[in-house]
Amino acid sequence: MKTLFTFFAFVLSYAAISQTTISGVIYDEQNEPVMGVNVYLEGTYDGTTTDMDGKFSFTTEETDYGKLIASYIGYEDFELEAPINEMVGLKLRFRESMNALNTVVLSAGSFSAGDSSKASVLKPLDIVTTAGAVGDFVGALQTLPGTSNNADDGRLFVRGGSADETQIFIDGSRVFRPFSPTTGNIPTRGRFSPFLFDGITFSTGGYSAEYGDALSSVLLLNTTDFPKEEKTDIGIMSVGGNIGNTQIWGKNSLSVNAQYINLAPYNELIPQNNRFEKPFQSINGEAVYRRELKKGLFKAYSAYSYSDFAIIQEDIDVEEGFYFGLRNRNYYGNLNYNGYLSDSWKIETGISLAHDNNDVNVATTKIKAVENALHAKLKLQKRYNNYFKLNMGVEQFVINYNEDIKLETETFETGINHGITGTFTEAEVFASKDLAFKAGIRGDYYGASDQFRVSPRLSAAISINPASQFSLAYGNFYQSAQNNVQQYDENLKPENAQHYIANFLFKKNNRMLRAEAYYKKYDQLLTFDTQRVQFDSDLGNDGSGYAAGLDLFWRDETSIKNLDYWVSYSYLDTKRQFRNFPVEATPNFATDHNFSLVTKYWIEDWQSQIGATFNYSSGRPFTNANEAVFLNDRTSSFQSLDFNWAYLIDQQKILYFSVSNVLGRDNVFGYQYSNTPDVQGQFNRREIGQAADRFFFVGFFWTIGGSDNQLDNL
Amino acid sequence: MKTIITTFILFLSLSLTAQTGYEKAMKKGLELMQTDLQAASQQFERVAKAEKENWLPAYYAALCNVNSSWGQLSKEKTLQHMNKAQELINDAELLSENNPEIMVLQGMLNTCWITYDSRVYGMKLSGATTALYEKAIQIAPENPRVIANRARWLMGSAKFFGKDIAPYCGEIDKAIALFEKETVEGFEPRWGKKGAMDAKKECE
Repeated sequence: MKTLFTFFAFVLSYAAISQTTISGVIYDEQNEPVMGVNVYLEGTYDGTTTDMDGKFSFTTEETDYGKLIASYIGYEDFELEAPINEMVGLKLRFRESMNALNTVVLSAGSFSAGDSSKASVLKPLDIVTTAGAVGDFVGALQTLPGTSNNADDGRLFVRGGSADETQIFIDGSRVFRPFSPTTGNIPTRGRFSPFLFDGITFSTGGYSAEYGDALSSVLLLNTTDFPKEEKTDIGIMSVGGNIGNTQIWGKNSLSVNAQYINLAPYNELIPQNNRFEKPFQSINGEAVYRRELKKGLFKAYSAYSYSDFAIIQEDIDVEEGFYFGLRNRNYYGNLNYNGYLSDSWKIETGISLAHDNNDVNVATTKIKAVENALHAKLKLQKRYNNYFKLNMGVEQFVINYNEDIKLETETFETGINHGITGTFTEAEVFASKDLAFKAGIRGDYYGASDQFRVSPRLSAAISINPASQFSLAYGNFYQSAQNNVQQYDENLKPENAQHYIANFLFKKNNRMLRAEAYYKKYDQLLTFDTQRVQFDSDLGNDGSGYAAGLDLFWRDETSIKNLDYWVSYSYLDTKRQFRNFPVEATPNFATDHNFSLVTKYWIEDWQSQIGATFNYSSGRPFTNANEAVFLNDRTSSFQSLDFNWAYLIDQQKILYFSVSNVLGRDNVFGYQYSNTPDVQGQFNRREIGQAADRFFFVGFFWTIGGSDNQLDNL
Repeated sequence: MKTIITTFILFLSLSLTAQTGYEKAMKKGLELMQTDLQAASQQFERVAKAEKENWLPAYYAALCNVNSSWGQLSKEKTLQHMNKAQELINDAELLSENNPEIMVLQGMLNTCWITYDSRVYGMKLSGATTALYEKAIQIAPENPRVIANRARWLMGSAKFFGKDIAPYCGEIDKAIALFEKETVEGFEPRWGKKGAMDAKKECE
């Protein structure tokens, strides 16, 4: 017994007197000593901070084996497991950790909104506070360089590409019909409420191997993660109303939103250039359910929209015009799960389903188009460390499209069922925080034409100093023909584009300059020999073309107090021979020069933000029938000055007022020429102008309950 | 018997030394907080690594980093401190769920983010922050830090909207009175009176 006690006493006293000294020096990657590093033995209170020479020394009563940790804010933790008595005269090398501000970004081609990173050009609020955008996120994106202003269409036209060349994704799943269909000069709007999205990435080229079946551009929208508060939103607008509600219970939340728009009263007050038989009305409903799970988040998004209108479409050859009526019903839903499988494996998986039903009546012809589409995707990410990540995934598209055309008495039925299978893998490598690479490859099998296509994607970025960086991107892109074309010829191959992009980025003290030059080569573009695509067209892939240009963007939030502004300029040189073009020419939707100036001024005493946007595009190409040279004439330039005023009545209420095209400029988008010449042998023409000279909007938005405030909506 | 007693005494003395080790380390951290937030944070981080079941060391380490994030340092440093503070708050939350003291810290950190870049984080975090303070005050209606920081947050947004801040001054007075009376055990949080006094000055 006594022996045991003595033994304990011995151990105890031994422990008390035996103090081991741990010492060493810490250097950074440049071999400079690092001061202020926290060095300690894990699980004990023993530790110290390095001095000016990066040296540390402390004693411990631990004896055998231990884990030494060196940690310092801005550096990666250093760990050393070793016998304590060997921890003498250590030389440790520290690596600076990467964060949003000090690390190079692969910025070629892409714009992001909603974070503080270097590449971020827009703030979340900009989407709704840009004058002229009227709450449509696409409207705000049209003030960025690389887009061509097509105010008569409303969709995104990127770097000489048509609107069909841009694909939109919500939480990684493709949206098949993102815009409500319209006709003529009535611009469309995105179907989705901008308030549902947290992060937006808009890529004008050179995007990741994760995205296929898109020729020119992708727009990635992420719905907000788990909401933090319950609330009810009510909006009363000059054109309709909306109501929304968010509920949270336990790990679940549900947000619903409904909107009704009817332009009839508005059209009574403000003269329209179109003769509406039935003014535009739409009803939209959206719901997002989210559930927090142990290692991830499940989201279910569902949206239904209905819209209809009818107009008397003017026509140069038909004096009384002809009837055009449209009714569209669209359902879109997606389920997705994001989470961690382990510390280093991440999974993102989703499935989206879409149903679109379009009834169009043109004079005596009735067209009914029904599209059912599905997109399923699985993406895995393996993170080896902060410097190396690997992404891989597979996806499947299934599309079923049917079109019934009823001419007087006869009905023609056409349609197509097809699928696209894609797979991709991509590596993201940071050689250091100043040099990064991304290399990816994707393979797509186009079922309709039985074609397999391989698309490599590469990008690299290097930072020159903390404020500036260069990046490059290259990629090969494919996209299948539109369903209403492919239905006439299953063998049509996917169209092809190659992008080469060089980008320079400077960001300092809330000022940002972004300059990007690009060259895009088009190949295997759709060609046909009729006026429009129809069952007897001779369809082919014989088209080609190019687009080259320079995009400039400057934003300054600091130089003038309370003023935030940005300027975009794009120069575009593009020509293609595609569709039924007899010669290579610049298409009607592409303009050589595009300029936007967006300003926002906060007036504290009025609790108001006042904004003005000026857009300019050089003239659009059109074919002058009296000169008989294809697409060689230009309209006069497009100019529009838009204005908005948001007044914060209090935390819950906001009053919003906006006018588009304040000066009432008569913008012309093109001309329709008569089929037959008049007595002098001249072809008469009709202007294709704006839907209305100005657009006025007044809205009152009220958030009730919860604790939300209207700043969120501003 | 004797063995048991000896062993017992031995363990007791061991655990006592451990206890004083913890107390000594925490006291040193609190002292460092007066002079060097960085060193204090490091001290608390060391303790947090040794005290795997105790939320307080991580809490104090987070507090040091929050207090370094009010814009007194460079943008890059501020960002690093805010990220560090968030990690530590997450650690503390894992050890102590629904703790109003940690909610206050999260609320303050959110305010740091909004100060850092209001156009990005103002929209993201302002609603969430208000909701967090409401939750905290429901759990701990008599906690002076909860009352004072909630009132200061609401005063901030009232000022932004050009509204009267007077309704919140009563709350500040109530918090100060509670600070006077507050009795704290061990190393439970006890800071915040000075901030409340500063806010009171704005009311006058």
